[in-house]
Amino acid sequence: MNKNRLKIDKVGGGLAGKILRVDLTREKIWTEDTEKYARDWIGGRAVNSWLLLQEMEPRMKWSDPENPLIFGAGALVGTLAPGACRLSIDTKNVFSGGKGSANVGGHFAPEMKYAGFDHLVITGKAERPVYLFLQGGQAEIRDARPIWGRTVFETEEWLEKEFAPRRVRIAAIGPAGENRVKGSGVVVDRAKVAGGSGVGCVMGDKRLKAIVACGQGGSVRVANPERFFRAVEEALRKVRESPLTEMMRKTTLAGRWGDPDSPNWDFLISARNGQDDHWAREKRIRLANPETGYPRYRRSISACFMCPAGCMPFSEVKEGKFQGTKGEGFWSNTVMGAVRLDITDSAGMLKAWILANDLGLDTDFANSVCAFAFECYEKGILTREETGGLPLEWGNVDSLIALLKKIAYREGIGDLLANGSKEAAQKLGQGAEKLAVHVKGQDSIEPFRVPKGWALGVATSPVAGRHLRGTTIGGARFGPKTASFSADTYEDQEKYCVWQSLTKEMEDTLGVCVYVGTWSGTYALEPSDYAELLNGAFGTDLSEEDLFFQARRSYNLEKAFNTLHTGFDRKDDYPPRRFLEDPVRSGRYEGEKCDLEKWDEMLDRFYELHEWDKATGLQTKRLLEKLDLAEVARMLEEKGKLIP
Amino acid sequence: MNLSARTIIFFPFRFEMKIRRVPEKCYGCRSCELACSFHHQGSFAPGGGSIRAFKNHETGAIHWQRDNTCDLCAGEERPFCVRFCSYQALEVLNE
Repeated sequence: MNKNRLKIDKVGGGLAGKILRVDLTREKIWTEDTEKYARDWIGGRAVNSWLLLQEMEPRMKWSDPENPLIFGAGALVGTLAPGACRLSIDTKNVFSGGKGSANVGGHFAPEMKYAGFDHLVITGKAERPVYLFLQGGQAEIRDARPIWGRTVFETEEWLEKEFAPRRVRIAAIGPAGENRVKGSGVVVDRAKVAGGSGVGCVMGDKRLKAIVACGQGGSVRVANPERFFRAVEEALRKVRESPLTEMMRKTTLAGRWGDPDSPNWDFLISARNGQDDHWAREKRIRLANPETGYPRYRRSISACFMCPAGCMPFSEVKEGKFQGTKGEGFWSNTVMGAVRLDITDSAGMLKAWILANDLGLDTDFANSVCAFAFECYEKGILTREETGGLPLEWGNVDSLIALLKKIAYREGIGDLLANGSKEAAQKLGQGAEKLAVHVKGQDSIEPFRVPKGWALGVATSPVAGRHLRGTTIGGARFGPKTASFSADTYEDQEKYCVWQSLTKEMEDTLGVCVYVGTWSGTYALEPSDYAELLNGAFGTDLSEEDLFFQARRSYNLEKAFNTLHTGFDRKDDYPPRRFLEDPVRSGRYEGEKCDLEKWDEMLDRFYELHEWDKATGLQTKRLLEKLDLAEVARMLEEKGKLIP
Repeated sequence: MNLSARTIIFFPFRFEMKIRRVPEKCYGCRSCELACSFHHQGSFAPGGGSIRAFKNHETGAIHWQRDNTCDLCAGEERPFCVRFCSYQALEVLNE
């Protein structure tokens, strides 16, 4: 790549135009123009990452009032670009102390743009609970005392009534966020959660209950409508022609689990807190079979804003113990969570999932930390007395439901678990440390021993132990193609992993959902489509290569943030101890575990592709200059963290 | 092809056309609402056109309304809402 600068002289469309700044301590509100940031960083997560790196000093903790909580809608959000609905929320990661970032779809991000704002940068701490109201380029801090303490669903209902007949969209926290449970998220449209990194915990710490956006009267223009609409039609054609679109629409992603022999069961699960990566066939059938499992409860499927795929199931349980349970939920992650806890009761799992949303918990965190507690109970590290009488036995969904409430309200054992398994294990001792499955401090629900590229993506994720930054089990229609690729070998995994982390960077910058893009889902759109959609919206003439260049730049911002704020380096890019020591106990991959030597070789190749220093995993001066990141190089150099 | 709302070409047969939504095919993505607003406003402004779509969180059902400002996208080859619906949930009926 011979480019060394992104050239956007003017942004002719696609933006709402303003960045909102809010200081909750002083109750001050002001704005600035988005364009200068968009010219350098395009939008969404990339702008958020730049603002965070620039404005947050490494000495600051997540709970310091100065920690900025940044909301950023993608550059294409608000237009007709397919799948453009995503919001990136960035702040200091409450688990790792490094980059915190969570992403969510639904209908909130476009509403925020129609209300006048591309980004919100929120600092300070309110003296009393407040919420923000946005409309027509204006913002107002309002009293949230009537809704403080309420669940997410109650909060949304109250706010919708408050603003009726105006149509509003809400991003809110539940009791978990209010109680500063580390694994709490920001919930949009009652069912979609920006989980991970503890973004809900930071919002609760700021005593910010919700953000209410009303886009009435607002609009987003595109610079070149002819070009833009051509790109939209081409993108929609690709979605239509993708062989996976029909599957998504009929059954949602979770539908892939209906077949007990699907490769998902080999590659994407880890049972009983990671004791095994195999789950018995009869259990798969009980949980996920269309006749016996959760698909029985599915009533309809809906889509996020502008999404041509559609993957959100609305479910309702009409009989049995959990009769009356209804709402949106049951995704692939729900299956991963059920297996982790050995739960086969799909109605109960649906109940737990919807409850977690209502409480404002990040479900991956919740299932992971609960599985840790269940295993501590199994090993006698936690007694029934300590759990407040709850039998935390594998498969017991009633105990899971009760435990979720305890965590959200920090009651009894819940208070210990609310800070994550790493901290809980340190307090418990007795060998609990090995049972705490976390990466860089954040609880992780991921499989590590069988899918090597998935494990590499999770272990090296800049946001600590999550699977949306480069994980792969192959299957992408685009990107690197190698004849020998297989998810269970170490060969070539780094190529997919780096490519996928860059395309995800693009997707979060533009605000396009990965499920219409390059990861899982429909595999319909590719980077050339993103370039054309952006050119139509911004009035630019960028190429696919330009977007890759830009993605490398912003990916390196997160890497630099972690180096400056935490000192993470090569030693932190390994799987949790358990997966290096304990082999898979049964099934096709019995005996498999992470091989340290092969992992090291894979990591070498991964750093090489990123052009990072192999010995330390740190960034080099040569790379950062090539990426037009001299300012970032200077920051790292000052701390002695830049490889010459 | 004219993509703005400025040039209006008169198609007499349009008055005999109707747009119908097939509820079971609709996913509530609101592409129709946004595309419609572009026809009316030349920019993307939900609620600024003739169509409103929203979901009932209690039942999961999608509610859809089209008001009498709809001109069936006069001046365009096909109504925008139909053209940009990915789910083929909107049909043009000639009556």
